[in-house]
Amino acid sequence: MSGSKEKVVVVSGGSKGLGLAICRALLAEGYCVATFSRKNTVELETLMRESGGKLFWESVDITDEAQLTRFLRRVREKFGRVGYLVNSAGMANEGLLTMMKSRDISRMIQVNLEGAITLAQACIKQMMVGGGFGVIVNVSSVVGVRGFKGVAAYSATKAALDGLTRSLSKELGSVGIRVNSIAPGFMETEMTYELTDQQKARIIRQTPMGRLGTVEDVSSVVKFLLSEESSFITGHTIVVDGGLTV
Amino acid sequence: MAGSLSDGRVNKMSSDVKVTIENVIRAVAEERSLSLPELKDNTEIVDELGFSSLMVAALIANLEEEFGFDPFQQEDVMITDIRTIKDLCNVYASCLERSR
Repeated sequence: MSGSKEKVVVVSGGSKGLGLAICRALLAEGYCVATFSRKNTVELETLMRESGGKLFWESVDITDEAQLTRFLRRVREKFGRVGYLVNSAGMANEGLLTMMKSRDISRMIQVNLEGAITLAQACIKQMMVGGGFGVIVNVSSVVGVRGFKGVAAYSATKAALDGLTRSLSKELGSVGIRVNSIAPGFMETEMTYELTDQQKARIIRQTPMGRLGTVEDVSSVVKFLLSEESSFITGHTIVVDGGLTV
Repeated sequence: MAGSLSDGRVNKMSSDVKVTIENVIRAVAEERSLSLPELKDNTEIVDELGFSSLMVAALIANLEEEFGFDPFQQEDVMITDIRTIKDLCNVYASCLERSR
């Protein structure tokens, strides 16, 4: 399959929320989309049925390197060499740092940061073959760009992804691989369900665009960063937050 | 283990590995417009061929494509121990031997 001309993208954490929206947007653009998560969802199953065989999903724990390796081997067999990666899998445990359990912090670092690095390492190897071409988008967060109470450990993982983005872009630019990150603001997803109405109202008041973001606001920028339209952009973090952090 | 294979099979495998590695070295160099001297067993990949660290990384990625494994992911095999084409061939040949 190495001669395949298909655009093959791996999207981590594609079963719900932003990851699912990214899968949907990229399928519409003609990509072959390979995604994984620990559990499937009704929404993802529906999208798979509608995809005409261009959406592949497996149950994988991103912290298990052997599972990731097997997943990538099957993606290779099914679609061909991976040319695009969206590191979208993430989890958020909120609370004051001093009150958090250390195992919850460790798990968040493993999923949000170590998982992204391991997956990037494996995909970059495929991107380097045959002269080199590839695009990586890491899904960061505004909390990695500005400080927010109650998300210290989570924001550390996201700021680290932005550091990964900048350094990898310098390592890989000369072999034709671009690396950027996208920092969404607060969106209406499962990750913000725990915010109270009062907290959401405050965020909206502080946002120049006067609303929370949608997953489509973000997935459209991911689509742009993967495309040739952004062929001279690398190493940058694009903030998509309606102006919240301006 | 090598002892369970006949000498003929071992030699044939080593020869195949060498051909593959030399072909991949030429391909990686060509992609980056690097002209190469004649390839010999004791040719040094960095000092004589002029491979940068990124080109070595590309070489290993391309060899993983060919052989289906990356020997340098194993704890006891270090890329820093590799200087010559023969060193590289030995690493891949011994990994292939172990997998049979």
